[in-house]
Amino acid sequence: MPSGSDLDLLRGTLDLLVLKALSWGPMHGLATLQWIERTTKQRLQIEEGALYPALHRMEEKGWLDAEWGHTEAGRRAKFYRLTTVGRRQLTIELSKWERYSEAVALLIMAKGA
Amino acid sequence: MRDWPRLRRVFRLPTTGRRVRAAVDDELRFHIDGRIDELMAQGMSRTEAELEARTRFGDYQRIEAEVSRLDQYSHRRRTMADRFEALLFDLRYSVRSLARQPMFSIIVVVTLTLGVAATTAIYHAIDRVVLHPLPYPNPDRIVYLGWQWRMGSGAGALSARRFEFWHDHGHVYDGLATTSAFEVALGDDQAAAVLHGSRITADFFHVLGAAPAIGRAFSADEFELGGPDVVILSDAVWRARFGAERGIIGREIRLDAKPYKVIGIMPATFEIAEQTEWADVFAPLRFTPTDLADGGNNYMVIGRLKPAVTEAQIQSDNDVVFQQYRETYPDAVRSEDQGVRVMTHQSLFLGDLGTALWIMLGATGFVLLLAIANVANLVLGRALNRQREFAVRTALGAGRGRLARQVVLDMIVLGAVSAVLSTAMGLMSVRGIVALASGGLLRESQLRLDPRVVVYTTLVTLAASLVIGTAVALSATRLNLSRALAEGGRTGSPSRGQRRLRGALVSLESAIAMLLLAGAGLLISSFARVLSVDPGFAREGVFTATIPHAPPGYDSASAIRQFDRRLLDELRATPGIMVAATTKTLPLERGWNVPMTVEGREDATEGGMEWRTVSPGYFDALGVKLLGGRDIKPSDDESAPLVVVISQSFAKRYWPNENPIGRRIFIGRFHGKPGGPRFAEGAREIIGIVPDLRDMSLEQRMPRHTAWVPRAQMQPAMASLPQIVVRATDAGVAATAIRRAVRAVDPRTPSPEISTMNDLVSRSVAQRRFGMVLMSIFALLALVLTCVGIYGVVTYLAAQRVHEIGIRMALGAQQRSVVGLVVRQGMRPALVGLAIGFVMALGLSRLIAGMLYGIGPRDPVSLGIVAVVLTGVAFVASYVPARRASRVDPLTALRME
Repeated sequence: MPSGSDLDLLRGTLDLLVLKALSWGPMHGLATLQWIERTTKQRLQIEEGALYPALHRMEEKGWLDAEWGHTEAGRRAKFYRLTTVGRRQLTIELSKWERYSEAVALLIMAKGA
Repeated sequence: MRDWPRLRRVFRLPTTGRRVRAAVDDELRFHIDGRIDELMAQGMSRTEAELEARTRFGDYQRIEAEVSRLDQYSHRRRTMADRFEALLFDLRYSVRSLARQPMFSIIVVVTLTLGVAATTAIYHAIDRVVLHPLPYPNPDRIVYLGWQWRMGSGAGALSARRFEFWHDHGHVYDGLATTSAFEVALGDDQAAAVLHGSRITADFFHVLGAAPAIGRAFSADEFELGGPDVVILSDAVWRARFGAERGIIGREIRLDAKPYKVIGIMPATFEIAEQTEWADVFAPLRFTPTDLADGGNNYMVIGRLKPAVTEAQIQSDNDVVFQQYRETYPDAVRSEDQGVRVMTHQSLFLGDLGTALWIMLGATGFVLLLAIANVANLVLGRALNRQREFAVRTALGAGRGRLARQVVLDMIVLGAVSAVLSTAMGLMSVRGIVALASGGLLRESQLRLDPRVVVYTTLVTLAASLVIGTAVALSATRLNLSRALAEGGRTGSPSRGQRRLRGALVSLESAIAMLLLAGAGLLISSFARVLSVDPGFAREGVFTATIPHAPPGYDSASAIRQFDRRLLDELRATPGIMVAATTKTLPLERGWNVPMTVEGREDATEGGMEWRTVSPGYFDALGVKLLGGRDIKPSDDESAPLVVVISQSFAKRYWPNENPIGRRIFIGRFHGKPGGPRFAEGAREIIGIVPDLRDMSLEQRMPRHTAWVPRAQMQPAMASLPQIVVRATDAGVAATAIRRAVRAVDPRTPSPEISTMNDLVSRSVAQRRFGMVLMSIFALLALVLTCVGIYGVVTYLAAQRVHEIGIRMALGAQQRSVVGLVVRQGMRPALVGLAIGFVMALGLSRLIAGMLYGIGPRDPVSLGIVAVVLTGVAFVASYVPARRASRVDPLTALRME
């Protein structure tokens, strides 16, 4: 992990971030990462390489579909797309995350009181 | 479409590990390059940007390796899944397309099933009867001892004294034993079921490697004369009669109304392979002085060799023991005696049956070959008719491999069905073989269900299917795409090569059919000759009866004489019974063999004369006319002078130039010396001469010297309840009369078993019939398969030429000439095959020479008839489809193109 990140990425959260990113449309790996950076205003620092095992694992699970295509600049890149299964998985991950963060929020409030 | 994304993936995915790595590398590199561009756009120098991008990316090597491993794993998994799915798809396709052509599928399955089931049944029989016949441990050490008279000729049974002598003096045996069968009624009720028993000598269980499962074996003192009455029961009887109760050990049971102590129960697996009757009760065999002094050779001896004994050791041991025997009993050895002959199970019991079974296996091998050829032909025809379908699939991207696999799969589906059916059929036909072999050739237990049969059948069927499938797949998928499509689904004329292949198939089938039919023809002809042999006695209108076992009280000669007399009086008083007689030995039954000396000529002596006891009327009942002298009369009773009737060859041998009537012989004496108390009697006067009878076996070649003694004068030690021979108007009358008469004489007598003389004849030729029927079944199968094969080929070829036939008919050809044209196409290869088969038959029929009777292995009549039959069948098989082809409407035929 590069130092200086505001938040260490929670294990398993990367899947949620990638699914969420791809829910906007097919993207290649780098674009997915850039979307996450942009959206979180650089607050989430990801070890970039770790993105790829996650992408391939999700492809194997059938959440993502991959296809080689060309970028606007004409370079060959591998694009990932959310499958129906992936979309369903995103909903599951989101509700899981909500439950988790609610619990953490409750905990913090209880401590502060 | 469900399969769409996956199919796309198949095309897109790299197929090898290296290509997987390259793709991963491309993807990762794209990421880093993109980052570098981005950072440089933000104002970094190239070197700084590269360093920064790499740092942010992390450990490139590790990540690349991890992703590649993931991809390779999922690639393999997907390929497997895709292949499996494709296989399932093809399998479903096979089943569907076969179901759409039920006739084709049924014919293929039936043909394969017949071929495989036939080999299964025979292979199974061989395995159990020839390869693993003896249910004993170390069966290779089991031997049988017989007495040999002359070098080279067969061996007979041993006398009790010889058995004891070899048992006591032989050094190469781990044990020698013999048995004597007996029958008893269980309990006091004489009408109760009869148990078959075996009296055994001390070594018996040891030789067979068996011991009672419960209780103990006989102890040494139980073999002493006058020892306690003890028995060992078979597992079957113990379960059926005594409720498998263990407490039976040590208790007394009643057999023939006498008490016997049960000391043991044999295990369920114990069986005596050499006996066709199950033994239910075992008792000690105790030789009396009478038994030991008697020269009669009536004991089969089984022995177990010590480990690692050689042929030479057995021979020299026998020479030594024989020399000792000669010195001990100089009077009991004749010049032609050779001592004991040691035989294996194979040589003693199987001789001909083993050879016959191997020949049958060869025959079934040919039947299987025929079945395979036929199926190959059918499947090839179907594959050729599917060329358009194949062409379409090829055009759509299916490779030759995929099409070939489809053909093989079709065959495997059919083969799997056949495997199931032929296992069932093989097992059923095994039962048929047992029924056929009712003459006691095979035991039921030798043919029980065996898992190896299932494995064998499955392997044979699947191997055959694979061979056929692969051969057809290779030839049928080599197609010319554009031609097949352009021809609009019709395959056009078959190529010269294909036509020649089919011709060769027909030739092969005809050759095999000819060979098997020739074998069957020779055996049928031999069988007919044996049956038509004149045995010297009448077969029609003669009925026999056997009393299964005597009620108590018949252990004296006078009681038995009384029984005989009253029985004959009863029978003769019955309307419908023309002649009635009693005998100790029925025709075609194993009789007694005793020595004989002519009175006053001690050199005129014989070691093994056949000896029978008969009542007055015996020869009349069998339709035998006396050649000289007089018949046995009721007045030849115990108080009258001793008399005997002898056979013609007997008379010629000892009185070649004079009339033997009035001469006298000593039965039971050898070189004038009495053999023992059993035949202790005075000289008998010859009163009559009868023709030589084939009363031991129809195939008996040499006339045996036989003497018939009046039952009223029989030697007391040999007395036993009689068997009955009557001449009656019909079987029903005979059976009723005999049953009634036996009951009237003594109501305790068990109901007699009635057989016609033809039954006895039929039983005596059981082994011959066994070989003949099996061979005929296989020949018939071969004939049917060949017929189907020719029919199929001619139909196919005619269909291919429908266009040509149409043109010929349009041009005015006669229907007859068209028929001739097509028939020739089937007949030419069939006749070639027939000729080849004929030559093969001339060569191979030597193999069954030993099974023939009265004809040579190249009997021209049998072979000629077979050739004519086969030609006729081939003609019909070609004519029927030819005639159909000639009925085609020329217009339709021409329009089809």
